[in-house]
Amino acid sequence: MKKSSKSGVLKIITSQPFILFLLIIIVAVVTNSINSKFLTWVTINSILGQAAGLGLVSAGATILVISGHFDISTGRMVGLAMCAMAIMLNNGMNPVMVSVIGVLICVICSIMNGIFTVAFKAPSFVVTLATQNIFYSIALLLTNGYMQTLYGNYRSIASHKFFGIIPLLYIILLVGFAITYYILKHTRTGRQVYAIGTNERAAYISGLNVKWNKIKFFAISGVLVGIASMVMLSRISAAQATTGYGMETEAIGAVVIGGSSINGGKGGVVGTFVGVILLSMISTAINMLHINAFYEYMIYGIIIIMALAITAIRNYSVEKAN
Amino acid sequence: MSGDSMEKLLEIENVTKSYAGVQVLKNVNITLSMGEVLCFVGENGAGKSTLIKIIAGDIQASGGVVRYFGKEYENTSPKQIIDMGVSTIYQDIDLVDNLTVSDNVFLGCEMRNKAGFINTKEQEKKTDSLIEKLHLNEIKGSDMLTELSTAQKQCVQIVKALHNNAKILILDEPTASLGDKEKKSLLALVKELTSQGIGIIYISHFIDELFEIGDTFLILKDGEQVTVRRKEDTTPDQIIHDMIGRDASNFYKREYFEIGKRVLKIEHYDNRKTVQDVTLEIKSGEVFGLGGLIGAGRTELARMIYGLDKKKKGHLYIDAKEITPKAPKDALNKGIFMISEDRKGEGLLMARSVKENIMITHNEKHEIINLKKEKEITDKNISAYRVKTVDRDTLISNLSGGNQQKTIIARCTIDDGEVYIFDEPTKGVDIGAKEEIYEHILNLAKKDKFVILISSDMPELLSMSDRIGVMCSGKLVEVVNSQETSEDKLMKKYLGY
Repeated sequence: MKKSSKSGVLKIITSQPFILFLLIIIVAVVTNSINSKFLTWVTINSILGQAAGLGLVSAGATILVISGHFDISTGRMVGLAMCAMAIMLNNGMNPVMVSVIGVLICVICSIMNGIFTVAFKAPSFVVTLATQNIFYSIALLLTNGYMQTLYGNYRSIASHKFFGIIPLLYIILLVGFAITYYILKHTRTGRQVYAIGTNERAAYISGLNVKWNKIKFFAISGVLVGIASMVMLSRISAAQATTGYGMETEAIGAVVIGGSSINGGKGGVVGTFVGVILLSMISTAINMLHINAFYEYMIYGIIIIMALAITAIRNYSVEKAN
Repeated sequence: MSGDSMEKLLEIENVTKSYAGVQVLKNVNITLSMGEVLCFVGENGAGKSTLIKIIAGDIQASGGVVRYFGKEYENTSPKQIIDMGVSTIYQDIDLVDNLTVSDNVFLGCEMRNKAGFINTKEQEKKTDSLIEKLHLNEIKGSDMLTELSTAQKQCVQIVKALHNNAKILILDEPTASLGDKEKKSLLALVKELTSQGIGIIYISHFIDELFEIGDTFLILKDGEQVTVRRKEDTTPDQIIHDMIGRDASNFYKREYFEIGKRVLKIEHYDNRKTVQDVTLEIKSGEVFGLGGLIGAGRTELARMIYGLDKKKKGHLYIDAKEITPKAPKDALNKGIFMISEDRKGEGLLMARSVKENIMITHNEKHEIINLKKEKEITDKNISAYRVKTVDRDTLISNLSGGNQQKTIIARCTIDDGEVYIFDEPTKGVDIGAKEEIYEHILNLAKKDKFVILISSDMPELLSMSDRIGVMCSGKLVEVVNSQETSEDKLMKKYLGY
């Protein structure tokens, strides 16, 4: 038993989230020593504010990636939902009603992705490659290609603070991750995610309704993408058809950086959370260090490759230990 | 046989093979001469495939000498061996369906014209002349492969091998998927080849077929060479006895108990292909064995009963109540469990923990999982089934085959069930764990459950079952009382001899 408690500590120290957490601290300390404005409330606020939308989409992407799927239409889905919501708000509809419809749009789009994936036995990557174009087109048709500005409407999600200090935005982000964590760890749905991601055939034979479950995973991701759209619309106060584009790859990037396996079956949402914070922090750090902004994407790329290397090294050492 | 039939094409001396200390092949000595048909005979897992793979260069022998055409080679690759003139034709057809016959024959060594393009005409001409030599009148070089029957495709494989100047041809169950008429023409082709001096190594489960074309029989059992017999000096009965003769110590001495009163009725199961109208009655408390060769339809029947594979017909009853499942989920809800023969592919979640592997089916019952209770159930099962693991969170892939299998049995026994189907439950399991698995199977029978046991291991089937249903070519041929039969008798029934 001694052995297992020792390996428990070792497990945490060598886990992907912990290594990333160290990386975040290193980046923060180094940046702050060059530009002392980095570790201030204003900067941290801006980093976490940026992280909210991406974080919620990434939480959904985590469930899909672990179950062996991708949704690369989430970026366009965010754009579509935001445009539709902005138009409804500008027509004087009740904001609560608008929010519900916004989330519903994303859930319906996601369920569609799920149904196509299951019905055609197609890779979800290809299905969502197709549907993202459809979502983009609908958003263009809705807005006629124009930017929809809200003029101060629908600000409360982004600006409300509990007790005057804790922004609602953070609470939404944390609750989103907490619920995803709970689903993955404590529910049947979570076990289904891991089982189907590991061995679909064995899962089916063990009594799982694989098809229905896959659609369910897409639907959960849809709820999170919908909430992300609400948060982003409130923060930006404007929307156009191109809004959100690129988030899908950033989200999958965050999931991979967080240590979840692209082959499915392995990973968790804690890693994704740390990955999202790391990505959001890097762009601010680049800004504050006066590094040419053109380097930003290169650094993203390098971080993802580094994360893959860490995962590979960890897997290798685990294999060797056995 | 031609005059220089004494020339040795292949000599195998004291060949041994072991994997991680486990011997799968021991001291095999055999030679193949020109124009000879040498048959490898043995049960499933006797070592025939291993020996073929060594000859074909797919794997290296751990000890002994393989001499090709009088010469010994070291570290040969499969490609070198093919180039030397040793071609292996496996049961699964190894051709490209969307190419013509001649394209397939010349695949990888295409003839080119001056411009560097493939010279289709010349290729077809050469192919046709080869085909003519073998009297295969129905095939043409320009035919698309998709248009050919399975038997014709087998012939194309042989043509391809001859095109590569094969002097030794290894045929692994070439007739397994052929009809009677096709079988005859293939055997005629084999005879034609021997008259051209080609040495044939032939593997088949069909004894009558072996006696029709074989000259020499190498009998293998549990990786060991039992004996070599010439056709002139032996009989089918003797060969069958050689195949299975073994010590009584291989038999497990099971406990017998009273058989229950309830009846499981398997009625008219049929998929119009691998299983044909199987009807059975099994009593509760009975271990019902299903015997037969690979491809007899046992596994297919089990999978239909479990609701996993599609069926055309078939109903399942316990006494008068129908419980025919529509899908595995439905089967589990009705208390029907199946442990698949493909442990890795269909049983285990290799990247997950022992806990998740044990709990997967039980966890389907409630949306919110009580983690504390889950741990308790897991630990209880790990100790009850004596699963050797560091702890419940260890990855299942780190466990031995036997412990993995015990995990799957644990998974199926957390909740009470009625019908348990074990498909090759001790495949790849060490002897110690085997006996434990036998105990678990018997415990279920003792609890008045219905137990179906599929096994290719004959001592296992005979010693574990109360009755044995023999399947052959998709049909249930006979149900025998295992106390009143023997390996010899059973093997004859398997072979339909």
